[in-house]
Amino acid sequence: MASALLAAESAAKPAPSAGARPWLWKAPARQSVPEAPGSTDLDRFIHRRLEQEGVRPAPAADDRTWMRRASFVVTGLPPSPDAMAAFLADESPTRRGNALDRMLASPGFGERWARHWLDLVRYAETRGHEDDYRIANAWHYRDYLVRAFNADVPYDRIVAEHVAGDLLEPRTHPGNGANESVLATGWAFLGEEVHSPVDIRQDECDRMDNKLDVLTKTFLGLTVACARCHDHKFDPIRQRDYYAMAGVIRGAAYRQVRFETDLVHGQAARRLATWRAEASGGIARELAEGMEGIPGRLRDALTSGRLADGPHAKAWEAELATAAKSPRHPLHAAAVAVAAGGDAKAVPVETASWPPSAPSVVVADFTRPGLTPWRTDGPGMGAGVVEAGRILPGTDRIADRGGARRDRFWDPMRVAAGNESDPGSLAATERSGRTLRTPSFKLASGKVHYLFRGKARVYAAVDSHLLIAGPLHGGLVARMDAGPEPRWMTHDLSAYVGHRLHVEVAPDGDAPLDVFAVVDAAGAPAGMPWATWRPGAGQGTREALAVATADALAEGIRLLGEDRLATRPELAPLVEWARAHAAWLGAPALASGAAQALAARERELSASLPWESRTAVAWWEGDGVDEDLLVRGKPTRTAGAVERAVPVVFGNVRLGNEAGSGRMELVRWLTDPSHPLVARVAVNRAWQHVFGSGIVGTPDNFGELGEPPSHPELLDHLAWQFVHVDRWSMKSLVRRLVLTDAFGRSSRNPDPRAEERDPKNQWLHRMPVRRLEAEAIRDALLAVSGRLQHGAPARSVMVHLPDHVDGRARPASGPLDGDGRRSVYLSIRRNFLPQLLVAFDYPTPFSTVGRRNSSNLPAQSLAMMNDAFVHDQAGRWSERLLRETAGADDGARVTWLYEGALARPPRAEERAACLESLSELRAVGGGRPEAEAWRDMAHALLTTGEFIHIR
Amino acid sequence: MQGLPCPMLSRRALLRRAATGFGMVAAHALLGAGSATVTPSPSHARGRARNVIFLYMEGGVSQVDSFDHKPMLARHHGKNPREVMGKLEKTQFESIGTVFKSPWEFRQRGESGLWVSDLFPHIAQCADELCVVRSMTSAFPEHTSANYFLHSGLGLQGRPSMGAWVAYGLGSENLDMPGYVVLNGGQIPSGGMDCFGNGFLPATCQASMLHAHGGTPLANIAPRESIPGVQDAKRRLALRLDRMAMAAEGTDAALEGALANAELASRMQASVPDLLELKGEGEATRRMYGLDSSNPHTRTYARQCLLARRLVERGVRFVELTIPMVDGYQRWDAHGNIAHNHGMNARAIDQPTAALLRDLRQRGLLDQTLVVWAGEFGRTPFAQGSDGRDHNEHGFSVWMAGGGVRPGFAYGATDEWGYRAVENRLEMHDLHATILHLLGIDHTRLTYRFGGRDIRLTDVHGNVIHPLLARA
Repeated sequence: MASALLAAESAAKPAPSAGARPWLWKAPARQSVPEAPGSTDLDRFIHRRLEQEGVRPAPAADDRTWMRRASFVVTGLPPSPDAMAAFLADESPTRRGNALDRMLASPGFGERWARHWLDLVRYAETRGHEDDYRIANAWHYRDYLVRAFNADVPYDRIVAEHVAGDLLEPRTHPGNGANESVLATGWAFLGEEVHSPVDIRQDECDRMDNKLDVLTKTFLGLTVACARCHDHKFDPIRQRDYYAMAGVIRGAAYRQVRFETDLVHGQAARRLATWRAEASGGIARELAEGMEGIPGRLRDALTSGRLADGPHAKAWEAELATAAKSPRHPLHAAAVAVAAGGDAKAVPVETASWPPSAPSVVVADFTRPGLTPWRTDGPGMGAGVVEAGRILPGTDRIADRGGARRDRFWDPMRVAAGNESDPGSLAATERSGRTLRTPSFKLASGKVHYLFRGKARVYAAVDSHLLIAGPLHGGLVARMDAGPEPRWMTHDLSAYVGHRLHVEVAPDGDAPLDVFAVVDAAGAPAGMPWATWRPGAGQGTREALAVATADALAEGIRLLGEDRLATRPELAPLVEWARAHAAWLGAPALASGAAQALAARERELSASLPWESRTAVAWWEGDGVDEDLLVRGKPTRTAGAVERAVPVVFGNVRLGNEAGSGRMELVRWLTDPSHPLVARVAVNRAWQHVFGSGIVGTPDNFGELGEPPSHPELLDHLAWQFVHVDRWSMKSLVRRLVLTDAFGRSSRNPDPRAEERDPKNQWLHRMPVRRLEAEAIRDALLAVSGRLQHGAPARSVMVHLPDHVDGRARPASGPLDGDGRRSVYLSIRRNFLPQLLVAFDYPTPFSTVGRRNSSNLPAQSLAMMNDAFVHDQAGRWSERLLRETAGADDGARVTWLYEGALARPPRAEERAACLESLSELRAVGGGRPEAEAWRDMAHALLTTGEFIHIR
Repeated sequence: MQGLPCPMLSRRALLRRAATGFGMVAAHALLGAGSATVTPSPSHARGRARNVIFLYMEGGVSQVDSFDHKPMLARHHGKNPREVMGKLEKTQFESIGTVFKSPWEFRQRGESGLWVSDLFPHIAQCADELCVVRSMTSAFPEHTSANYFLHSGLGLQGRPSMGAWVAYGLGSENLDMPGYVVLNGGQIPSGGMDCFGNGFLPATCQASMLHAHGGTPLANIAPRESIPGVQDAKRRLALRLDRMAMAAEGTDAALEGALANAELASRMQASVPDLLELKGEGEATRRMYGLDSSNPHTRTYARQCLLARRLVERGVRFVELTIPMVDGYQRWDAHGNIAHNHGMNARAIDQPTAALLRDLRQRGLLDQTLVVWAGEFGRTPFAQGSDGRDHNEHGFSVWMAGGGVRPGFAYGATDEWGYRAVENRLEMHDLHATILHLLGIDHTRLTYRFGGRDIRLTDVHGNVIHPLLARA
């Protein structure tokens, strides 16, 4: 009662007002650029503000400082001495732009900016919790991002691909034609996941909450998840809005997509369907012609009970014996009469009792097209329902029953070696490309019955639980063998009555599989979802039955010849039986030239297709499900379903319908050029990465508890320009920001009043001094030492774990230097995060982190002083020094080190200090080899504050 | 740094944040004396405790085999629990056996007459120090979520652990050491290091883990330079070069902070080995803790307990002990053969725990040190299979000692089976609120703004349980 009341109360509330920040909900408008000094429009906005605040900006930074700063900001790497030299040698007026363009074109850009993005989607490759189970093949998502940023895929397209990359017109990998867009949807499954949750629905709500939290913070800069239990305390987001969005997420499921062959197989499947449709009439006609004499011979054989002669006599007798025992055999009635040696009295007539009566519910019926939405994750279960009486696709056989039937053309599909499998018993990878799913439904009876033929792997996705491991919920997956005839198989799910689920079915191994129907009922249905022809009553004599059977067959063959057998599906089993046994009945050379021609084309196509693919985590569209409003967020207290929609403060925008989750509509809304938040949030994130803090200092929260923008007009100007001028190009945006006067300013303002008036530098009178992010520190060490290996490794590099790092599910330790790969390519395991990165504020991947901490801890100094990796890189660097500066004097070597590590030559006093220490390092312990002294000198430079900061 | 310090934050916490984040103030303080005490500010209330030692019993100790005496179990041993106890809650394994009496005898102990079973013969001798809560509950029946909940007040990854909150709220009294230290006995809990994380709080609040079971005690604490003087020469050079660069290009708070940290790091290189050097402890102390035990796990836990005392003496705010690898990764998680599992675990922790209480008492440290002994949940009074017990979050026992709690006292009760808390039921948030209260912190005012909310250790819940407090 209480819940109904509360729901009514919530529903009755008027739409929220725009709150304290009305501009947030309106599209950013084009701004007029202020009349103020500055070499770019952006600078004029900044300068006007500085003027208003009476702050004089710092002078321009010198070229070397600018270059080092820009290089870290754009690529996350220090400038190489060569790049620095080329920049300094360029005397054109566009020299900074030229250098910047080289950085933007380098793969380092994507590696750097993808890493920023990974923080937003709480990227990890394992699921944390007790056993830190892996998220199979998660890293393809990361590689997708790197490629997308490097290809400068427009931001609106990146947003669209994240939300509905599986539904959009796909964007392909230019090299290998793989499906790029679908990889973006993997973000949804990169969160934590629990195995064996006791309350499986609560667990689902927590997972959905995390997805919604990430989605809304990342793209909207809003904390919609705050409205899970009650209306948002500060922003105009109602609790209803939360559940209206949650339904969208709930409508899509998990899969492992064969992304490398997905598109080419899709195209092939369409061609195949066309060929097969074109060929089927000819095949049917040829079969029918070949079968012309069969009805007469069948009549004789049924009348006499014997085949006239020939090698098949024994087999015929055995077949009749089987038919007499099996009521579903097409010759059953006649065979009973034969067995009785005369008349068959009271031959039972099979009556169809379908659909089963309430409370049984038919969840899916694949026996005829159009009854149940066709949803597969690939072509392996065919291109759609095959009607009874049609030529079975890819064969010269006749479909005896309508159903979803495994298409053997796709048997060669396989998963690439080294591809990861899901943990536990889910087997999404093994099923990939061959899985058929039912619509979702609320389990009423506790038992689900499947009408199958062949062997199936079944997964009941109750409450979308997919980490099936440990003591509970193992029964959600099952392997079933129905045998060679259609048979009802029962899946006991009685622990989940009242829960929502859909069912996924795939063939088990190489076995055939036909799926006909799925029913939610206490007991298996008595009837079948089809009628079967039987000789009518009163035809009980052997002769009469033989004649009736032969006549029915003749009628069936006639219809087959016209390719109309599907209009009398009840005859299809008889006709198919006759076709299969044509050789017994005088038609030994039954063959279809059209079928052979089709088979030849299919073989040719098959030989031309790639069959091996890796798989990646992705969304799989389901049907539309409205989520229930949960009173105080408790799944036990439902208060009616909430129609899917965007938060009402943005207007009335419905999302989805019964047939779809609503993600496509969500894409259209998010990527509308007039969307009030998407572009603002995006440009603010870029601004923060370039300038150190955002125009809105809380990049994930533009709401009332976030910080207000320091330069509101500039924010809107940027957003407008990003959408309407730069067409959502991130590279253009970054280029604009980096080429401002503001970015080029010194970090030191000689005017003391500037610090007094703007101590937090919110008006940007100078550039801040910033500590490098964790990845940039590690990558800089690799770059400086010369160990850096450019490009993506074949898979994530296992993290090096020191001996003292221990715990359940500890993975094998990787190489100390990560094979020289950039940090973005390190394997991110939730329970075993890379310790060196964690020391420098690598964030816990639990939800969107748009702004990292930048702490200052003794552990950081300890790492730079004593970490084995740092020592290793210092050693490599000094070896390179001695190799590359053979014959040079000490001073020149110090300069070489300085330029490598700090992108500048030493000042005279610094060189002197180094030389002084060098003598000390040579002399200590009674004299040491030259190489050791230089190694220590190199290491000392890496432990300076300057090395891990940018000015 | 995320957000801004909240106005209700103590000045001291503010100082500390400033110290590690920006600070000229900090750089000054850090570069000054090797060990300095930041002037305490009046905190929200007067707390007796200055430090916490959290003895974390991971896996879930059975209440009905330790501190919650239930004669009904013996009386109905072997019966179908659904028949005698009524409807049962779902359990992790759903492998429900019969009502299962404790393999250990219960006795009343000390002057207080507290019931403690023979599982803990040494702790039993300290019964008059203990304040047992018999009506503890959790909201999660799975280890990971329950671990997060016990540590951070939320059953998900990513929130600050209570040690981090305490370090954040009170700062450290010793600038040579971090404010929150985990002494690892070998077991890393389900949920990993995030049980000890700082979440969105400044990284200074995260636990520094010292490994007490052998091997390297702290990541990167040991210099790699084998020749004396080399590291020192390098450090001096780096400092000098940074100073020169700053003289030429201007000082900056971030750089100053980094230099200060380099100094603290080198002080830690000296202070941590000193902390770990137990030779100075008397023979009697070493024996009392069990450093000479024939059981290697007892020796490990003895070392952890002794180090905990030494850390508290050095002013570390929050010391947490994880349990040794007594039974592989089984922890206290006795799904089968509880007699073996609990027996082994108890043998490891019993003597050192009792020694810690005695030692703190003898040194006059117990009144200002709150010792908390708790697992993430309890266990079922009926068997799992034939001789194990499954997870039970509906009622279990934890205890505290010292630090201003009422000694020799038991609070709350479970039903006659020891199954569900029925009298003075405590939620995890109540335990957190009470711990903070004992430290002088108002749990409703220790907040940090993150993701648009002022977040607390106790979320929007929690009550200080006043009957648990010692009478003034």
